[in-house]
Amino acid sequence: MVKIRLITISRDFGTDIDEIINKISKKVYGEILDRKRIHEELALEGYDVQELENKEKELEKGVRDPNFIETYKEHVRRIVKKYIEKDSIIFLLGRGGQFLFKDENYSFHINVIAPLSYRIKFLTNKFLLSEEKALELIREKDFSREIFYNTVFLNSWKEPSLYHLIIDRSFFTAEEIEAIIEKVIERQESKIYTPEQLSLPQKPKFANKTEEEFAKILTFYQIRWEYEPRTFPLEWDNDGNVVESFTPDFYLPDFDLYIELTLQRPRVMGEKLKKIKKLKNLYPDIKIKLFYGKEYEKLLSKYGIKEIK
Amino acid sequence: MEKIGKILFTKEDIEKRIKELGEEISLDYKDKDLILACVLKGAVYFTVDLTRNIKIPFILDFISILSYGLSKNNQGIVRITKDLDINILGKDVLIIEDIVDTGLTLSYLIRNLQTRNPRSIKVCTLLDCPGRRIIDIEVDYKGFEIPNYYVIGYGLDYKEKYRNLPYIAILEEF
Repeated sequence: MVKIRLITISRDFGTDIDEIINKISKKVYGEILDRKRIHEELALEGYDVQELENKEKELEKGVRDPNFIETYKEHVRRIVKKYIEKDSIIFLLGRGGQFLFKDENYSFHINVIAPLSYRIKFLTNKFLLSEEKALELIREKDFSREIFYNTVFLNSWKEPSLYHLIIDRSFFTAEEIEAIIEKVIERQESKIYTPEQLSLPQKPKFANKTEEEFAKILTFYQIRWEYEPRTFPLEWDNDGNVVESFTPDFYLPDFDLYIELTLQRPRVMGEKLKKIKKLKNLYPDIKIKLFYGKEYEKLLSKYGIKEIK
Repeated sequence: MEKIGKILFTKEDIEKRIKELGEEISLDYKDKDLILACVLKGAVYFTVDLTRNIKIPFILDFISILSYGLSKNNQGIVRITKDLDINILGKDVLIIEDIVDTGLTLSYLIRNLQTRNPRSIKVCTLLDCPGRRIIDIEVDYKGFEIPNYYVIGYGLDYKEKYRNLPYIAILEEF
């Protein structure tokens, strides 16, 4: 087991995170490595920094020079490792740390994001820019970063699986972010938990494949759903026992909406339709939508799902 | 193999209705900061013709969203693949869609644009297919309401084909 020694920070332009990292680094006697610091190190090693800067700018324009790309990666790796050997905690800002140290068990990768409105506000307040100028700058930086990472690492830096933690800057105060990152540093070891240890929610046991596909569509569109969360009693015997009930397939909490799906044809749907009618009578405030037969098939085929029974 | 079925709306039907929509929008957005956000690619044809019938100043911009069927090899989450170029803070945004059916894409788009604090967001669609609606979304301006058909033409495609048809027809046997 290895302690966390390297924290890489990838951040959207205008997320106001560098000051926070500075503060944490001072508290834990860490070292911050960013573009400037790495260039200073390379200058000490005798490299022509101006030439390196020019070549890095070319990468931001998408000019792919395989030899320089390898040199760039090697430089960053070497300098970071040199500092790690000094027994400091390293905070690597940008530079593709999430790619270069992806599989190193001593590293922890953080991505800091923020809504556009937050980033504009930050830039207008901090640099007294107009909103239009701030937006223009954000677009320009986002674009050149995307190009840089695609050119150097052949991947988007927005890929969530690259990170252990993604922080929405607009959601937390600086103090809360400090506490989160300090908690990570305090961990005695870098450890990947098994799903059992984390008590992850179990995948629902869908009644059929189409329901599972429907759940995937909702997830894709970032719509929260619950599978069969509630059973509605419809009939009781004289002793008060429930003798008939109905459990809609999905509940969408953000829309307070139940959804029932079935591929059954209308002619064999009688029983289900009766139940839904009873449900509406007994629980008039419940919103429920039914998709069935051909209509439901059409809905699925719209999303490229066909021939599932 | 698919084929072009019954024509639902002719070129003339579409032209007439777009003219009416243009007049309505021009009246409603008089003295407002109108931004037309055309959702690529389907709404392009509709948007272009609609703009010709809007008689007030506006800014035209485009936005594109990854569709579910096209994302199988991606991250599995909807995302904007081409964002608006302009800042909509404090502006009156009118989203222009070719068709609103399940409401899933539009619901995501509205939630996304709302985080940018525009003054208002409304929806204008050429076709409204409420029978397929999962998420109830208010459509402020609609060209035509249609039953649960798969339709093509006038920007609407099937596997990128048929967008250039001057009319809207039912796609059969697909």
